[in-house]
Amino acid sequence: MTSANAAPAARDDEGAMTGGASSAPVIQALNLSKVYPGRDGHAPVTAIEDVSFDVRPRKFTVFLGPSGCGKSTTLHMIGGFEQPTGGSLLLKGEPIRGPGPDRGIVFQDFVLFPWRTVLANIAFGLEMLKRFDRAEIKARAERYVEHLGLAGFANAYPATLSGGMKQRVAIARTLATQPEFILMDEPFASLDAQTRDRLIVDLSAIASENDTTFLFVTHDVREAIRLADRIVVFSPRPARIVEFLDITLPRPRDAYGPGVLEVERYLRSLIGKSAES
Amino acid sequence: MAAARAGDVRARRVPSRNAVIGAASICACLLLWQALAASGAISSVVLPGPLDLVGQFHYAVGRGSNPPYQLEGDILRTLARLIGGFGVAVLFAVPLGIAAALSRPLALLVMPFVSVLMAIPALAVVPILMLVTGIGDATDFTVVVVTASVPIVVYVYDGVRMIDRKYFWTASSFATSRMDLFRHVIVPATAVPVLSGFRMGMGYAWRSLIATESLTALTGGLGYTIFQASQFFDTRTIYLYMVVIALLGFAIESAFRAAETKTAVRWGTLSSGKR
Amino acid sequence: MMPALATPHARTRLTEVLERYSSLWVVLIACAVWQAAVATGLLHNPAVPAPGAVLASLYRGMLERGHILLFATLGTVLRLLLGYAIAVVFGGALGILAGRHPDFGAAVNPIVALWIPLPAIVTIPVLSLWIGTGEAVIVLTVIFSAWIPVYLGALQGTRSISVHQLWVMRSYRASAWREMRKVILPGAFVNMIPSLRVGMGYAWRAVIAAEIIVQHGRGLGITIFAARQFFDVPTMYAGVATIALLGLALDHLVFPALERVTIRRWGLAS
Repeated sequence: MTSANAAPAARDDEGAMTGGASSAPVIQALNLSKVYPGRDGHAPVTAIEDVSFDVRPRKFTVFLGPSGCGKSTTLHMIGGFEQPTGGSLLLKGEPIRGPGPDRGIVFQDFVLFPWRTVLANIAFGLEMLKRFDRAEIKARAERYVEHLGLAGFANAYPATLSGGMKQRVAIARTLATQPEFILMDEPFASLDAQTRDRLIVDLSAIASENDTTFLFVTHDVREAIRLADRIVVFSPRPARIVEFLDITLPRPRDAYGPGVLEVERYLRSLIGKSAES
Repeated sequence: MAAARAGDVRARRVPSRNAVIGAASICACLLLWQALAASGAISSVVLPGPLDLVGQFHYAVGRGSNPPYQLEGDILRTLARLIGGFGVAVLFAVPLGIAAALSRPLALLVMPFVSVLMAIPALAVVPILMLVTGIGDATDFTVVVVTASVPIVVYVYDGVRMIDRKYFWTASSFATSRMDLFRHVIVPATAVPVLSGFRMGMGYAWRSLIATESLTALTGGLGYTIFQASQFFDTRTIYLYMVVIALLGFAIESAFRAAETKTAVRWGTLSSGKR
Repeated sequence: MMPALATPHARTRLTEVLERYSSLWVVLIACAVWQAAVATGLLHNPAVPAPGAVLASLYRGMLERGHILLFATLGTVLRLLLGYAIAVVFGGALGILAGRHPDFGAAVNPIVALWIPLPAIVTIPVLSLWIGTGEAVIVLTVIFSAWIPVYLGALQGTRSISVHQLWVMRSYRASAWREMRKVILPGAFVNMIPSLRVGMGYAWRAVIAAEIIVQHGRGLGITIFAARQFFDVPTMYAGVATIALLGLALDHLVFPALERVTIRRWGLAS
């Protein structure tokens, strides 16, 4: 049932570009490794080992792998929150020195500021920019309230919101400042299946409307297939890259749409094999 | 899902039932007390009844008492020392706690002394302090400042350190300056622990102040008067002041607790999470 | 731009050792600085003796002549333990009772609420009136001070016993006494340990404060106050140091050990 015009996925073992126009990679990791020093007599922990990949601009890249394999660590290093212990990680040719407003972050546990309303949370980044006056900030924030389906909750406090709503606020907050990159660390992992489904659909739409480069971490294979332009498959810890997979299925991608099941089957066998080795 | 607790079943009790029983209990105690005192079984010098205390209250307030406005004066003096000292403690301890939380070298320098101070009951140091600051207000004031500062530093320090680093990470992904980080993340995130610290500090300061007043105050105060009264066997004053001290302490504690709870309810306490 | 919290520190072996005993190092260094300041004459307040003099006083008081400090310590500790034990039994029993019988709890509650804001030392004038000065006044002050946290802890602990455990006992038709012994007391006790610790803190403060005010018999508070009259400042400091050390030992050694023995052994860690 695969469509005649394009293969659903193109395998790419070297992480380099395959066909297609696009531009030069905007993030480059080469032999990246991260070792956590041992504490209280424990042995040091190697989170990732010899990981190399490229990230292309304006594409949706997904880091896929089993839980605890170091993909989150990689994302944190791209965000500048943690530093690699080996190898190089370049952002537009420069090593990453720390966090910055060019890379927004969305966490699994939302990390909303509980003392700010929904609107104020969304406005946080805009306030920090010190570029707009109050009215403008309010207007922009309100726009995102609408856009993320939070109408009517603008003045609610995060404690009163459901998980799905909270994550919408978190996404709106990150989107509001239009960063070049949006990093997402298993954002839907603590949500129930229905909420997750809705958010995947909404996120896909947002991604296609924006020029932002998305970096998304997950252990859920189907989620990865539905969202990604490209999947970077991680092995269990100490993580290495198992494979790169470009997904060219047409959007929007339903969970059981054409091609998705095939890719899923392939990925599962891949992950299964890497778990055994 | 937490296992069912024995207390859960009881929680279904109507809360007003507890209130009624509580009120009845207090009334019963008061009646018993009055009956004992009135019956003459115990000398009214040793145990004045509640009505006697009400009379004493009327005597101790206003121009008629000796000295005039005795009760008011004592309350004001004690509160002045308390509030003044507490204010100084807050101005000093809160920045110290925050600075120690953000700077490891400072923490290593300061926190050990704080731990030692926590272990020393305030009154043990008062005799030494009196050598330096004499027997007047200065000693009372210093005692309040020190006893309030110690828990405040600890709570503020813990409060800042408990902030999940993801809040800092999130803020730093938004061009947040250091100043803004402080104003917009650290201060609100620590509001509830800081208020807890204030409550603890106030509690310690209150107890220590009353005790210190009994040893020092030249010019009155609740602690001073109550111990003076015991030397003159003025039992009515003793009992009256006991009640006043308890009620005042209760009011202060309730006020702080209310502030803390209101803030926690509205903002939700920050989950401490793994760092 | 980021506060030091957010990035992990580079740790070397040396840093780790320093950090572990950091409190100790800092206090020792501070004492050394203090000693130097007094010895060189930089610090010459009569109220601040050199640490050396304090140590000498401590040594003398503990090991020489009449062992004044030693007996004072014993006196204080005995009063403390007696008062504390009674407070624990009384407060604990009352708390368990209040937990099991909510009506009783509701009746006792307002009395407790009014008792809490009353500093225990304020009861000393009344106690002195009733029983004169003496040991009993000090011990009673300790009891008055320590029973509240113990009561609250027992109450809370009893309430939080899983109702399923009780049902299991009932299904075995265990007698009420058996039920008490096997389920309630251990359950309440384990949950009570933090409040036992708090209660000990209260008791400690109370015994010292009471000794300083009442000044009867032998005790650390009494020694400190007496030393003041002779301007024997080093002894005052020695007394305070002993108090601090005892307090720290109680809090950092005794209670964690207690927790280890009970909670961890019984596998009830929260």
